[in-house]
Amino acid sequence: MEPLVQVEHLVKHFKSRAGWVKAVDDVSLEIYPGETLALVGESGCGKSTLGRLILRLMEPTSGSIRMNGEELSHLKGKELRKKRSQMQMVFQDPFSSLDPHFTVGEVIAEPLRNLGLSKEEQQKQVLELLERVGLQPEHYYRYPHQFSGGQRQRVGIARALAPNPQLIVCDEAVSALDVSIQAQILNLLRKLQKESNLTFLFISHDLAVVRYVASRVCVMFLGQLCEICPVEDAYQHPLHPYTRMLIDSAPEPDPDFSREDRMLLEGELPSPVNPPEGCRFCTRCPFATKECKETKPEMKDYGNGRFCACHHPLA
Amino acid sequence: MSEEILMKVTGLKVVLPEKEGGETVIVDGVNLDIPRGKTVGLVGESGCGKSMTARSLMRLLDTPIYIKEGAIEFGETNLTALTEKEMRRIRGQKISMIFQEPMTALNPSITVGKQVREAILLHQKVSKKEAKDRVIKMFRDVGIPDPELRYKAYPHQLSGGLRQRICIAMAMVLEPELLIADEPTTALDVTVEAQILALMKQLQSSHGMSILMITHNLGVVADICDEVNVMYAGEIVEHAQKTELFHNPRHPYTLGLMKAIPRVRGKMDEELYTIQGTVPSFSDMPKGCRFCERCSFAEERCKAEHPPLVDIGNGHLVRCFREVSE
Repeated sequence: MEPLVQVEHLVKHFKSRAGWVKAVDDVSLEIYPGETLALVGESGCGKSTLGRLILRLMEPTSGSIRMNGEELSHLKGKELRKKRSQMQMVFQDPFSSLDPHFTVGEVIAEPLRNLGLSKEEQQKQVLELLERVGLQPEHYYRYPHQFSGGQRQRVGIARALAPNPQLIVCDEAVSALDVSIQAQILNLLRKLQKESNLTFLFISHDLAVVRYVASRVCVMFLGQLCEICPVEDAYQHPLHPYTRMLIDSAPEPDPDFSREDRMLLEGELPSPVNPPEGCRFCTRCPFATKECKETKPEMKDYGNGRFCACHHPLA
Repeated sequence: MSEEILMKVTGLKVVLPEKEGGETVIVDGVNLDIPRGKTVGLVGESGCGKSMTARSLMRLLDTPIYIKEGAIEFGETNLTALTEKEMRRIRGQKISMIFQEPMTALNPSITVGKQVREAILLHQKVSKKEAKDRVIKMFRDVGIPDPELRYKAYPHQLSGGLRQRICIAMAMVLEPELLIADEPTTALDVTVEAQILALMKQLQSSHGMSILMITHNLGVVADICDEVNVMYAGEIVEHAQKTELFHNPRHPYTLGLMKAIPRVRGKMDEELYTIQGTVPSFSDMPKGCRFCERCSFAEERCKAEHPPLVDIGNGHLVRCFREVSE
């Protein structure tokens, strides 16, 4: 299958007072049509930056981003805006991402208006979208502040769906929601994907949520990818020690769960300005050897869609 | 069970007076026992009143919110009867608190060492030198690497995990009898969360304090608590020992919460269970059971009458008519 999005050797460095922050440093990945690819990692690992680069909300330092084979990394102005309708984003905070001056109908219609649809056509499509995300027609004329967090996130999803995009990037889309509401939104995302064969890039720090929505997982650490694999492999037989430690750290709502033989991380995250040479994880890895400190591990193919960048993989 | 109760809260009612007269009840008749040396969880979703309950225990409510009724007995003292000046002697010294956001809890313009030292100097007559030594020892106890160096650091120079360790050091340095932790790991990464929870357990076994753990995360409860209170819309709806609560949840809300969490381990359901609808607002509270509009077991009686909190055996309390025998 041809990938929808192909990212190759993507780099984004930011200038800071302390030096160049290597937020995304040589990342390559593919997103296939109809899949949900999850991007997981701790805060500051570069996952949001990577998501924004793919949407071309910022310009990469170097590297290539192709969508349907077409290079996006150097597009500007009108050309870029045209492409943008094919890629949409759902944000973390449903309170600050909706304009309080617009009714919900207007918020969802805005991308349709930009596509040049007539008033009647816009309204018809907005009503369909409201239904698809589980809202009522009478919500059309209400303002965002009249909605709960969960309903607002539904509005955010409807707006992202409006221009009929090929790719939707969800950046911590359920992280601000309460458990009972989070479950409703997760079920909605799964339903939408089944119905419309949508493609999602799902950025999250919550491994339990990722397991529920994703088909494949990319694990990111300090600007680089450690492991890419089908979702259950990451949880059952992780290859990279960092993947294992992330999963072992996740709290388990079960009092009988044995917490003793977990592999937990110690120490502090190294600075993205001066990342360790060799493997970026080597300063925190219990298996690190001389080789890890000196040579950067390449991403190796372990078959069945599993890739891992580690000198001493677990399995 | 003959365990010693360190803090006993009875009939706590916290209200927000309205401009037009009248009032909104935010915490409604909460009873809470905190045994000495144990960790008690207070679980619920945003707006259920769990943080307000915690702040009431420290008498840290923002005006015009106030404690209208109820007693907070701490040893021999009823905290609701103390003056602000007397309360200041309890805060920090006997009861201390850590918050969700370790950045806003610290003063950005003072080094973290000085801030923690200040806590000692305020409450005890010791020299600055001795106070500093105690701070550095405490920093070491909470797992801060290079404590002498970090003493001189400003909050912004530290990671979120280290900042939370500083806050824990500040809360622990006077050896309080009760530590109130309000979502202490919610803003942290899972890897750091696991470290902080391990630290809290270790400090509890070495210092023997009680912990009141406010959280929305049942995973945190399962890890650290001895007993649990589930709050919904300003009330406690279920109380039990941890194992009992997880093995035998009885309130439909508790049951729903447990089924609605996606899990990292074990088998996964095709579709997540959802609790329909949203939490009722305090201004528009159902007359009967506060959960009845979202409950799949609700009957006529639930809409008309308010269910009492009943003991179904061994101190397992449930606020649901399904547990009330006719």
